[in-house]
Amino acid sequence: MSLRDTTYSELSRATATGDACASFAMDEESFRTFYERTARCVWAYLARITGDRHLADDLLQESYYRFLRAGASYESEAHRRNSLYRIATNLARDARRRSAARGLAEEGVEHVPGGDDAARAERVADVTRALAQLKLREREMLWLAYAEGASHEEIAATLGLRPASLKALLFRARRRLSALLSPRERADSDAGA
Amino acid sequence: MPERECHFESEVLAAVVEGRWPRAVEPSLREHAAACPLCSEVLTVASALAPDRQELKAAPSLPAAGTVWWRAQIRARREAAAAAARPLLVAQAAGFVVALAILGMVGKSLLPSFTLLAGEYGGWFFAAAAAVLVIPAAILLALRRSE
Repeated sequence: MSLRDTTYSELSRATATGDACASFAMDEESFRTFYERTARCVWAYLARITGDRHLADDLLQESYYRFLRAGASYESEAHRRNSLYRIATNLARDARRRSAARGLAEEGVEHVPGGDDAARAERVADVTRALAQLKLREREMLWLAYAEGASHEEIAATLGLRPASLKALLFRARRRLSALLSPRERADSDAGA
Repeated sequence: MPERECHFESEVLAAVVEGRWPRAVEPSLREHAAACPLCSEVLTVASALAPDRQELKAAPSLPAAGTVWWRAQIRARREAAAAAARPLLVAQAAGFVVALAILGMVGKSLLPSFTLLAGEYGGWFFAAAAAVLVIPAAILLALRRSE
């Protein structure tokens, strides 16, 4: 059963009676704050590594549920955030295995930039195409490192890798993506400079 | 073995992620990035992914925090209830088996000719008993699963 199976009538009844009181390690107020701070970043991460925004919607809610159910205590906000990303990563990997078993192809994230910015739309399409050619783990590493700006230690903890091996893996993944992006990105950055 | 790290990588990356590249950085860093193959790669990759992240973050309408919280509460409660009911179901099944055994023993002691009857009608008797016990139990299980 997924979180989406919960009906709105159940939600409103539970809210009205206040009888839904499962014991999570986090209280509602702390959860709201944490969710507001992290949800969009986690969604963007899931959308990019899975290449499917609908799947990202489902995985996002499942990630927060599992995070709450884990009931762990965290020494810092960063530690809590890393734990959430780790859960999200594992869910994305499971989903990938399931879709591979069913023989489904990745769609690519088809987010359309607003306005009439055709160059921006083209850049998004290029990034989507380039990322689709990488392995899931490469996408995870690159997103965390170069979109989120996470440290090597954080990435290693999130992806379950040894920090020593991460450097080499990240270097290779970056080289691949750079080669896939190079003609357009170089032209863009030269124009920007 | 090729060089895998440049000391300026983190500076270049921070400038791109924070939106300072290229205007709000030192010209010397820009010149270095243009000449250094490693920083150039960082620049290419970060310049593609960091703005992409900003656009994706702005795109979706995500469920409200309160909705996610209450859905999680309800789901946790349902799962707890299902987990609590599981031993009860096992106990019910065991109860059926024990009741059947007792019924058999009582029947055997009460009917001297049980062996004779069982020999003649035993197959039918057990088939009927199984139908009476197993079919309702299967329906009950199916109903509980669908809840």
